[in-house]
Amino acid sequence: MTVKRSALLWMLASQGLMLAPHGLRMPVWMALGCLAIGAFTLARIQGHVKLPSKWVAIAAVFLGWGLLWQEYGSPMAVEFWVDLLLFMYTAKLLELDSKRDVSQIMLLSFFVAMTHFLFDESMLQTIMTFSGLVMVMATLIALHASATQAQGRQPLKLAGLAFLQAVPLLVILFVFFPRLSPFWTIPLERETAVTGLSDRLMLGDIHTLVQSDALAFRVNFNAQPPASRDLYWRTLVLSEISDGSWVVGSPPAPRPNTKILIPNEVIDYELLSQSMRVPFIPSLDRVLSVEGDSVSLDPLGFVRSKRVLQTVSQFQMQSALNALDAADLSKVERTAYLALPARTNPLAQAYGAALAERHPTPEARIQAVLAWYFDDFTYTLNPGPSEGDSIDHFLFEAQRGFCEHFAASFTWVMRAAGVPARVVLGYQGGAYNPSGNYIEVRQFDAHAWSEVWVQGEGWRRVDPTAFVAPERIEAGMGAAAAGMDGLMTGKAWEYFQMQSLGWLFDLQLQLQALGHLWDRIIVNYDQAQQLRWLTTVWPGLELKDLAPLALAAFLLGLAVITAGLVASPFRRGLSREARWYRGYLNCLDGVVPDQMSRGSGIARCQEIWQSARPTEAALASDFVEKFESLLYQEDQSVTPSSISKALLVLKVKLAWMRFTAWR
Amino acid sequence: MNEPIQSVLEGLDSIILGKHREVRLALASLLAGGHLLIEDVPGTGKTTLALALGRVLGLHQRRVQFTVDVLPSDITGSSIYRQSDQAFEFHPGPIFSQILLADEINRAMPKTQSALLEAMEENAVSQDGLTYPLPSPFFVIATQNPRHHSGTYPLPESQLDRFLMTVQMGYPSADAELVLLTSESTRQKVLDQAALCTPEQLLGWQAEVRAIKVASAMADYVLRLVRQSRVDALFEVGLSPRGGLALMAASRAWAFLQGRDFVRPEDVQAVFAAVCQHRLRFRGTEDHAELHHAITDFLNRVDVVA
Repeated sequence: MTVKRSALLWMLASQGLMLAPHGLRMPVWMALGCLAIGAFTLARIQGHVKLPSKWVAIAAVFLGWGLLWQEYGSPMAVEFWVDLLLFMYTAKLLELDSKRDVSQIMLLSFFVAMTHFLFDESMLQTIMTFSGLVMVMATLIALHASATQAQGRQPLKLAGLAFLQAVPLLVILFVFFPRLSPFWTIPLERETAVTGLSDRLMLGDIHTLVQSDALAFRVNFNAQPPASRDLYWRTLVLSEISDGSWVVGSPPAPRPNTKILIPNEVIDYELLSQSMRVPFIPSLDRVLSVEGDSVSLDPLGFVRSKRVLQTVSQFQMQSALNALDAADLSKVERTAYLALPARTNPLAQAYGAALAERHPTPEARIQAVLAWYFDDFTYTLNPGPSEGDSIDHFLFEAQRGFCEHFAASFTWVMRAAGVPARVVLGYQGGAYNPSGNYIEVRQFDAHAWSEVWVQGEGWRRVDPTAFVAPERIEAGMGAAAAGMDGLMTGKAWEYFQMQSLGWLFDLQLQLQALGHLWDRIIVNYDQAQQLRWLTTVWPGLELKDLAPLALAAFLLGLAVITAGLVASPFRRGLSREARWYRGYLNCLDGVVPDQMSRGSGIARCQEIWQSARPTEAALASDFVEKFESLLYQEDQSVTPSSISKALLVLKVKLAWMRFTAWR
Repeated sequence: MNEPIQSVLEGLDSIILGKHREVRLALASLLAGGHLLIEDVPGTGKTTLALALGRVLGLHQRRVQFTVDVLPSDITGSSIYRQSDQAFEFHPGPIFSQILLADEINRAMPKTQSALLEAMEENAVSQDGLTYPLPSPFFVIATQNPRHHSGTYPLPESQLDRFLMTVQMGYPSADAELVLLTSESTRQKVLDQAALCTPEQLLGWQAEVRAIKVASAMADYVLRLVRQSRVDALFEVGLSPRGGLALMAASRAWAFLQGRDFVRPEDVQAVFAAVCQHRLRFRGTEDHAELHHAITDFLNRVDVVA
């Protein structure tokens, strides 16, 4: 290999940094393969092994392609292409031989850096990516610099300096560059892998969700946040039963004149949602208005987004808590919210019918069921498997269950008893982070409850879980899980264990607050945010002004940097003599190699020039003579202005000579 | 350039074949009034160069072959008690000459080495409370084998510092070596060589060398070199102020040999390796070729004009 060993080591290190964020995501065989190729290259650099034959490399590449195809089955996922890129990025090492190969790999690194943000946009990832890029630049410096400049940590220092110099431009571009929505998107396969609510409720679904500590969303309130028991984040309304599970279905729209009569308490808040599995956004109680990118208010009173959220997105919302709705339920609606599939859960159906006979008012029926739950049922995270008709099994045999069991069975019984009812999926509660003054909701806060129609009041929220396990609602999942001791497992359990660690937990809160700030300010800086921010500075700014503004800011930044570069000799206090000398060296046009020119006297330069291009060098004799007389003989008869003039004459004559020669 | 200097150089070149640069460095060292250390493996003409210099310059020269058992008094001389006068009488040693050729100086014991070096510094010998001045001009031309050769006591840095320059002879070129093999013995040529100048002329040239102009821009350049040598990653120990003075003096002599009355950066660069190599401690390497490379690299890093 003809490349400096130090440059190769820098290259391996930066490649490792660029691949690391993908390490856990990519298929295991590929991660191992990349490591093997890396180790092999390291051994090669140390001189233990030789470059494999061309055929070995080709075989390895085809094997990799085959395995990738096997892994993904189709090229329709972004992951497939990303992994293909990463694989080729690594496999290039198998034919690494020249400086050019190292350059290529390093330039590809910039492309690889972009793929990091497809999967993670957090601050930590950004820091990692930028450190990786600094390493890449260090490699390029080590590759091209002279031996002394490439010594030790020098390249990293230089790269870090270059990076810092680029930061102002980065900020300008970040703030002003027009944010364009993508023209197309390729779905990420991870959509299915994202934890979160799904659009149907099978018993046991939420139970698995509760094991996850993944972040769902964070909310900033303009005022004091409501108490935990009021924080019911409605996300989906499940109105139909299909194949034994509750689904969204297509419920009839309420009549448009439905009005909220008494908006008891109106609150404004800003919700920053992580990626979701379903195109619904959590919101509090009855949403009055929502602002954000491609979201709309569903007639059923929840927030829908046009697409499934793939990135962090921010929404401004206004909700009414404990509002009353005096409208009537239309006949179609009533039928829909009473519908039950025939011949399933006969015991529950019968129980509902009996309930309707015993209690004349819906109110009494609700209370009766809740009382039954309160007396006989147990809240547990380990309900055991359900058998046959799951509602019947839960109500009359197991009597142990989780929020989803209570909500599903309660809604079922209500419908059987002739009270319009539906299941609501969402989150309940959340942890208040005092460092960032926001509420953070994680997947283990997932919850299910019911809404029943009460004439004159509208859809009333009834949470049967609250009767069985009030601590779940009052104090959150953590307290409920602690009460049940050991029933909760997985990440969520670890998360709650953290809370007992005192300062460590405080630190975690601080870090989370920082992450939240990052999401709000950096990740969520989209077109709307950009316009909002820029209009606070320039009122009346419009979207179409953005492009020229960005261009102007960019040019201004470039101009500042260029001016800095041009002016730097003066700013560094370069003497008049040094400027003359530099002017002379510029005339040489590379005859004297750059690395030599600093340390070469004018006589030697002139000698080299003389032997390389005598006609050109002859033009400089007047300047050289004057320069030496003043500098080294201190001949006072030579005036500085005559030297400047001689240099100018030299430049003009030289330019003319080169021009005519070129012509 | 004046005629006599020209003829001196020609005379030296006719004896030392194909070593123009080394010959001029050696002469520059003497013109700057400094002592000279010639270094290389045995048989490369170190002694011949030293002898030739003495002959050509018409100076009275003595030669001491250093071995382990040479004592300080074998160099400086000793006092002998004379019965008749009932007093000690000083018998000057070989050091009382205009050129002392100290052959294989690093084979002598440290004690002997320091006696010589002390005399070089003082330009006098002190014995029994009396000081005997050395003649003028007075030069020491020492030769030494490379350090790692067996049976040597390497000179410490503080004493190496007394020499203005170190000159590496190096092997002759193929052409020069062929002439060497086929012509009459070099030793005979040295013995036949007539003096080409007088000691008075030499002293005059030394005065001229001292009068060579060093402009402030040049002093700045030398200062930059010296300061950079102290912080540069290449060296463990940089140049001392005395090193800077030596560099200045040697540059003047080099400019004089080029027939100029002012010093250019090229003069400094020409003598830099010879003047500084034994004053700098390099990091890592000992190999001559590599040292040469490192020094070129170092010179390229220091701005000639700033």
